[in-house]
Amino acid sequence: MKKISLKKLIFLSMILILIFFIDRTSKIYILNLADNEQFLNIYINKFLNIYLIWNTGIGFGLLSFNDDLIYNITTIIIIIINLIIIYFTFASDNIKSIFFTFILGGSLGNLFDRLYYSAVPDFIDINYGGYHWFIFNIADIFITLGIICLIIIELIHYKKSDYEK
Amino acid sequence: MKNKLFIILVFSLLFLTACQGTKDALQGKTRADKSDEFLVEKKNPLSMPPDINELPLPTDSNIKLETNQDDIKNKLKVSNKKDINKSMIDTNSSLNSKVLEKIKE
Repeated sequence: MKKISLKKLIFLSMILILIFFIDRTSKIYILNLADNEQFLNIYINKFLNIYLIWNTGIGFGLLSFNDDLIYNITTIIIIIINLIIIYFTFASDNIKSIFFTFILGGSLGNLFDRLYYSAVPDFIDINYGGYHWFIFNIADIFITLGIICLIIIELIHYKKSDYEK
Repeated sequence: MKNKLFIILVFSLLFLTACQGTKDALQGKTRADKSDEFLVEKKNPLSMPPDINELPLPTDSNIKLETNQDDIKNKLKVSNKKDINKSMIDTNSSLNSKVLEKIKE
């Protein structure tokens, strides 16, 4: 593993805290709006609704069962993936480590909800012409953004190395 | 390293995100369509209204009306029968007279 400088560590920690803070603030705001009813459906515009649902599973609504064992196993897998992401954050170069921090920040936001509420609140509902995309939250945006950017970086590196050969 | 990274990224996308609504996304359902058309709403069991004793008692006017109507019906039946008999008698007498006339001729 590469040695990480204190400056970089502070910078990445700040990104991590900022993402975690944005995610938590948005979730607390939405949950306060929903109050105790645990139901919220706000029309923002033609393409965006705020619709609160609770996800007990993983991405794309998978593994959403009312089984504690599956829930706990999934949570353990998520913690393990988080540890691997932390390893990659320290092992990667500057740009990559920033995007790994994006993933980590969002992931910690969702993990906090899984441990605190035993479910993750999703509320951003994007739709067009009656067709709805998966309902997601701010943490999901950062995770997806980080993953897409890392894939693009990898593809660029792959093309460069292929061209040099 | 690259393959491992891709696997980790795919797993991250699956496990770390928490988006939901696969069914709705695949079926393209709108929020308005979400009502359950087969839902049978529970209703409370039938019970006597609390102010049933405060309702007014039925008066005799209704009963009188019914008896009057029955009387009229009975009278109509009787009058009909009388008419039929009269007509029968009339036809008989006319026939007799006609026969008598023929004989005389």
